[in-house]
Amino acid sequence: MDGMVNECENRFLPPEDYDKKGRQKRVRGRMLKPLLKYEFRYLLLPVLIASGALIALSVLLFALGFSVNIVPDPDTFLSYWLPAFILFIYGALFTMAFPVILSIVRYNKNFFKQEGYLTFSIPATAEEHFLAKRISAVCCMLIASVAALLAIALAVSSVFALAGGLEEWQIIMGEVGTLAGYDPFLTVESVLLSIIGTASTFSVCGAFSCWVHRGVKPWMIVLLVVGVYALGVIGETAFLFMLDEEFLMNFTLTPALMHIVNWVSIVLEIGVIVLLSWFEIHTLKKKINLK
Amino acid sequence: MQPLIECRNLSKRYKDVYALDGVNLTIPDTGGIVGLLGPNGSGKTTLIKILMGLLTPTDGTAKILGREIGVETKSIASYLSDFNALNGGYKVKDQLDYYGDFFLDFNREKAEKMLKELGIGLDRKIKTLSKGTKEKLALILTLSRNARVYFLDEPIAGVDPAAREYVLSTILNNRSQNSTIFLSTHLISEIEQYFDWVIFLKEGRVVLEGNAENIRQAEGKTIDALFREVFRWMVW
Repeated sequence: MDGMVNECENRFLPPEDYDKKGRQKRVRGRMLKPLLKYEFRYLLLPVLIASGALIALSVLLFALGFSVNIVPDPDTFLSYWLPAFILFIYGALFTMAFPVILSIVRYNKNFFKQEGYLTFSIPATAEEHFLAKRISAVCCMLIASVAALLAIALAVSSVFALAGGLEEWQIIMGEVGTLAGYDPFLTVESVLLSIIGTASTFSVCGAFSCWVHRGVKPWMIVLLVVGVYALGVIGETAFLFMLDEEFLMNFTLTPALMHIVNWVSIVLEIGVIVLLSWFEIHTLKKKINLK
Repeated sequence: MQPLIECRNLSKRYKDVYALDGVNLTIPDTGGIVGLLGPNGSGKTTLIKILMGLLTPTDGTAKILGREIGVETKSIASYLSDFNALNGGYKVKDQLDYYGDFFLDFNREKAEKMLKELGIGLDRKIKTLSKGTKEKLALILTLSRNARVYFLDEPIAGVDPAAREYVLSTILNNRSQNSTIFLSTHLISEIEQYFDWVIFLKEGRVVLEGNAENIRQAEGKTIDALFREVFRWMVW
């Protein structure tokens, strides 16, 4: 009993930071919460502004689309609509890339530059730092993606307005709705895959930053990524060559096959995330060397 | 009683250069001020950074109150870097919020009182503050924690004599009770009288360590005089 009292007295952290066996918890709500607060404080507002601007641009484009019936000829219409549409496409691409760029800048600045001295002075575990960065980045990416999808939907409506009114658009949306309703599992898998794919993108970026911090030259990492990609393409091509020609000619993508492809992709993506996350956490825990 | 700081064969190598080379230290947990003394490049900052978990040693171990460097030691150690690591985009009050959110031992009232005495407004953006004011803000934040150990890396280097007086009085009057201040410096004369324990570092090695008063008596000279003798021929 005395031993237990002494053990508790020797603890530097609050009791809730230890599990039943007396070991320190790797993830604590009381630390993850403020970490997330500061991550969102940095990322959220710029992402919301960019997303809002894109949606505003798509509304403008949508409204412009209807002016086709007012202007005297199609050339006049295209002279202002086309530049606006091209600008919108660039805007959509930027909005999708923006959270990734912001997160990479934040990751490096907050961990490996001067701010890192304060970041790694706080009593947070490597897992807590890692989770805060990843959760906030994925959430912001999803917000930007949803905004971009909405904006693209509106802008495409405008294109259909050009082709003769809203009827075409209603037909397309009806098709999408039917597809989603036809196989809801496929829809769920696709959404899951896109979220996991987003997390995987940030894992690659995080691992890249950690490699650079550990002294690996960036060009070596680029070479490695290109090498792995090239090996994948070569492997796929070789696989296709090995298949029977008749089989390829008669091949159809059945729903069952699509499920298999989705789940194989999900498992592979999760594998990549687990591997890279382990590397990141290991670096944050054991290999920090601030200059 | 656990020693406050215990280093065993602690080394840090950068390519072929040893910033720390087999450092062995045992500093008792008796409170007071520990002077980490040595010329520029002797390994003072490296040692503090390892003790704060900002650098990974190449070899050896470091412990604070018997704990490996980690979350537990960071919860009882307050650190002032030798440069401004605060977020320039924050307002002063945001930085207070930050400390309050992450350090359970942060005393916000104490920090606000000290800031008020200096006339630093809570709504000022940190990047608009002068270099000297930023340094004072960082010092106030560091000392407003009720920590067991404070690591202050060159707090009086590069500041004018008036500011130096403020920094020293703030350090001496605001640390928490029974705590230890681990202070690195190469400017010894003004602070020598407050040292309880001293460590001389030379080219990454401990050349002298012990109770300041015992060293003064044994050597028959002040710590400042001894320092000048030990490091006379070194290029600063």
